[in-house]
Amino acid sequence: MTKIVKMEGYEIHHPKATLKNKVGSSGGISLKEMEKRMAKKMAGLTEEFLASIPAVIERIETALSNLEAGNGGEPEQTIIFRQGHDLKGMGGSFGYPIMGTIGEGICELTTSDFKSSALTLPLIRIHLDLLTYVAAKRIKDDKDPNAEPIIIALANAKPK
Amino acid sequence: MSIHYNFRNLNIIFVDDNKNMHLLIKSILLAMNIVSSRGCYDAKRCFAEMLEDPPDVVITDLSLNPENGLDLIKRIRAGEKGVDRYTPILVLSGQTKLANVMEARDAGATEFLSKPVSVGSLHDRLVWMIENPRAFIKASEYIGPDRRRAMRGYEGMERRQ
Repeated sequence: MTKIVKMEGYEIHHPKATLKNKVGSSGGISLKEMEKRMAKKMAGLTEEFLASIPAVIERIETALSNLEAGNGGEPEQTIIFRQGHDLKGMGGSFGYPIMGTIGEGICELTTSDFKSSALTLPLIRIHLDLLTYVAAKRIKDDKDPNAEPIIIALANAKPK
Repeated sequence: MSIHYNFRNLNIIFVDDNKNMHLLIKSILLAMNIVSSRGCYDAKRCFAEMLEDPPDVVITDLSLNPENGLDLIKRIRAGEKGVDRYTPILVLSGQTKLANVMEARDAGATEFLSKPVSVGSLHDRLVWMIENPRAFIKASEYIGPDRRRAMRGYEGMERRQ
């Protein structure tokens, strides 16, 4: 039963069930062991992630082409933003932080603060081209010998 | 020597609308010995799962469709449909601006973890939640963990690999 302390204008609740009651302090495994287990699975997971990138590129390409042709609006902006958002979250998680950086750039260029009419489409196009290149070459991060031009291009593809 | 918690009995629901993130989170939880986890793609499903089998922890993204993660947190804190409003909620999101973290906190999130996620970062945050339970405050405009003690949450660009 939750213990409730009444104060002036508010209450303090102390729930009886706590996470500590649910986990034991014996029989657990070390973080090192968890990381070892996870490392075994990451190769397969990363392949699945990489296999999903062409579809991401295609969704951005379709929406961006519509915007470039003057046929798109907020829905296309939202599609591109969401793809960028997903990339931003997944890139680093799957060992491809450079894709996360590209995703972050796409988000910044398509955030809802921007009106569709003011979208900097050429900059989004640059990000898409970079994503395509990075995916094809499997460039993970700035340590990759092929990464330098990508990093420079990303730095230059910011709204002035 | 640090305690190696045994997470096996934890029951977790995670909500993310991305299939790859589902595979990743499920794998991380399994690596942590958490065998009872369920993934949901939206808030509606999460609610149904919470009613069917109340979880010990909810892990949710902020950017969900059609209902966003903030609304999901507020509905849980309101105890809607009889869900346990005290369920610890860990926000796992790529939206890492300070404003996003504050919004999550004000909606009633327990802790915040920024993507990218790894077994190390999720483990650390879960251990923090276990060792630092927070009382709940119920006021006219807020119900959730006591905000006077900040979430461990905001490391901004924290990137533990």
